[in-house]
Amino acid sequence: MYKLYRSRPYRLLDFLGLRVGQAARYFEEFWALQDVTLDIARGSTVGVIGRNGAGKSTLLKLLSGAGAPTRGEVMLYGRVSALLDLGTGFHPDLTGHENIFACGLYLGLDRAAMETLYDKIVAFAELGPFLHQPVRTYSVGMHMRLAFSVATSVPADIQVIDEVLGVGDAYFFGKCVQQFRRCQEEGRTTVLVSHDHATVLRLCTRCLWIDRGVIAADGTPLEVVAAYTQSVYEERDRAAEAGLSVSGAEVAPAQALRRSGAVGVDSVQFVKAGGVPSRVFSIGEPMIVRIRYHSRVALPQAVVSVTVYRTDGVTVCNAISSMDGAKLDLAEGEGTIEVVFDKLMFGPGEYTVSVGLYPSLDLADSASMQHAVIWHKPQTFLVRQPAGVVMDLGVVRQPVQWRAFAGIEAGASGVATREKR
Amino acid sequence: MNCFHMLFRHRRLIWNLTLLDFRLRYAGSRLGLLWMLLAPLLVLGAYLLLFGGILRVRPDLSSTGLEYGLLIACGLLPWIGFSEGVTRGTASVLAQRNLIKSQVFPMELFPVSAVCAGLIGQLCGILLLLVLLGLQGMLGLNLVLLPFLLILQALFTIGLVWFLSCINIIYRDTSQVVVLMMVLLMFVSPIAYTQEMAPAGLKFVVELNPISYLIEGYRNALLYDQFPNIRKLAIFAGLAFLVLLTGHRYFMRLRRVLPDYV
Repeated sequence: MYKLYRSRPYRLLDFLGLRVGQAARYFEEFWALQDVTLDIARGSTVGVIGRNGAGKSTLLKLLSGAGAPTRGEVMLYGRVSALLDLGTGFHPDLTGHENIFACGLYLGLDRAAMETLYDKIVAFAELGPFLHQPVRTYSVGMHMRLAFSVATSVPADIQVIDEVLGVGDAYFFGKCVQQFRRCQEEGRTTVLVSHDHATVLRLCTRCLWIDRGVIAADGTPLEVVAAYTQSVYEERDRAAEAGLSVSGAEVAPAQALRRSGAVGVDSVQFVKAGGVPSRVFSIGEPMIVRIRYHSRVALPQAVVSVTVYRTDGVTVCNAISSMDGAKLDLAEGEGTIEVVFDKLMFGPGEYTVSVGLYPSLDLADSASMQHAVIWHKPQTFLVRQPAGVVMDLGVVRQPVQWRAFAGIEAGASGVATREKR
Repeated sequence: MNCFHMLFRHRRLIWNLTLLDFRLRYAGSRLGLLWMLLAPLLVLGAYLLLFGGILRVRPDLSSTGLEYGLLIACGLLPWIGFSEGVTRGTASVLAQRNLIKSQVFPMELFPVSAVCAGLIGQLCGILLLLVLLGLQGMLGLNLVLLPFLLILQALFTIGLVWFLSCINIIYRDTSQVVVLMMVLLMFVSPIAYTQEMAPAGLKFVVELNPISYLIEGYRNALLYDQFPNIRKLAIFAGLAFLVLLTGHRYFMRLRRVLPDYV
């Protein structure tokens, strides 16, 4: 078991004075991580997410052994391979070939040991003729390919990888995923920082959300990514609100409505065809989003929006009542709005919903979006694979028609084939 | 003494790092390793021209230009080895900042390999010099002292560089200061002159410079075939061990926090 005990505070001292001593007045203290206690089991793949400067990289640095905690301790059981920076230890003037051996040296592997890994590394990096060119001529992607290839090929029990996967192209990313899977099978422990939540969801068995130096959430990738995404939206809304309150009188009525609580969304429910509330739906099933609101004034020109997000933050769809031609004349008092999704066309996965209630909305004016009473408590629903299907059905279940013909003539379909000019 | 144990344990790694150091230094240059001999030869030529040709310095009136050239070479080669080791070694840890920030690596070895690289360059020059001396029939038994001198020089330089490379991470000015100090130190090192040639009033300056003991040792072993002055050699040896152990202690104490500063 690989245990990380009380990897407590880590201190970056702001060096101002002429001494390396402990005199506090010489330093401004910044605790990149504080009170972080966690165990990571052997063989698990842990994703670390969080905003910039939250302490993710510091955590990795501690795990790799490159940094020592100011207080607390890190206990590692096994050999660590770290990829914290693009081209760590790459010498720009040496060729890729020479750099592979140089890296091996820094990792404590002699030439003979590196020789046995060499073919694997080269095959994975796929640098072609560039392998024998100086590394300074490499593109960022090539650099990353070589670095990733070395870091994941050398024998290690624990690998620590910072946000580097983003620079590879889709093809290489696919290879990286395979490589990760292989590492998982070998029983390698991986800790990975990524801003691409889809990667975390796809690869990790556990996810940590680090916020301002503490662990904000720790659990399954789905839960943690959803919680993190939610907080990002809230932050964004708060920022938008703060921006608006400065921008003046024009928006004041809508602001006032919301602030005073005159208008508010009370709850959002997902309901099955039979009227039963549920959180789980199958592809193709109808889903009704039931919104309960209250208003102390009549809203004759109200517009309601239901936005569905995937847990990685992608907006899947945004239903806006005025765009669908629905006129909502909301009377004062409490009321219910139902949004009916006839057939759910979303692929399997977890989705988050945010609801906006606008006293009025001009679709051509993006600023008017801000006047909403937005409901954003974490409310998720799950779309299930149809029973008995294991194959990945994709993001969208697009309705299609199938036709089959004998022979190679497609003319029978009635679609004229366009001729090349 | 765990410092010697550490050096011994990592001997292969040090050797490989030194090779890498060479490769890095000459990567992309046309003449490559040839520079290792070319550079000292050019400096030697300049010295000969300046001191022998223009200033007409002679250790004693009877000596020829060739003898003077050999005398300079005996002082110049250790000097170049030393100063190169110090300047490159001082910058060596900082130069590997990427690595230090992301990996566990015995970083105390970077200064060591920089010093070794300097020594290897020096050794190549000395081998060439030995050939020349051999042709002149000037080689004697005291040559056996050469490895001893090299080791003492290595220990002294490594200790010094451990100290300097550490400081260089916290104060980046160090490498600038070191370059300057090397120029000044060069003038008070008996390279183109001998200690005896210094005027009595200024002799103490040369005596205070530990490098002059070293150069004198090399001259005695290579050129004069004399057993070096035991007292002076002992002083230098003691100093070398002191510097080495202090430097090692200092580096090891700071190495934990160094990644935060690089």
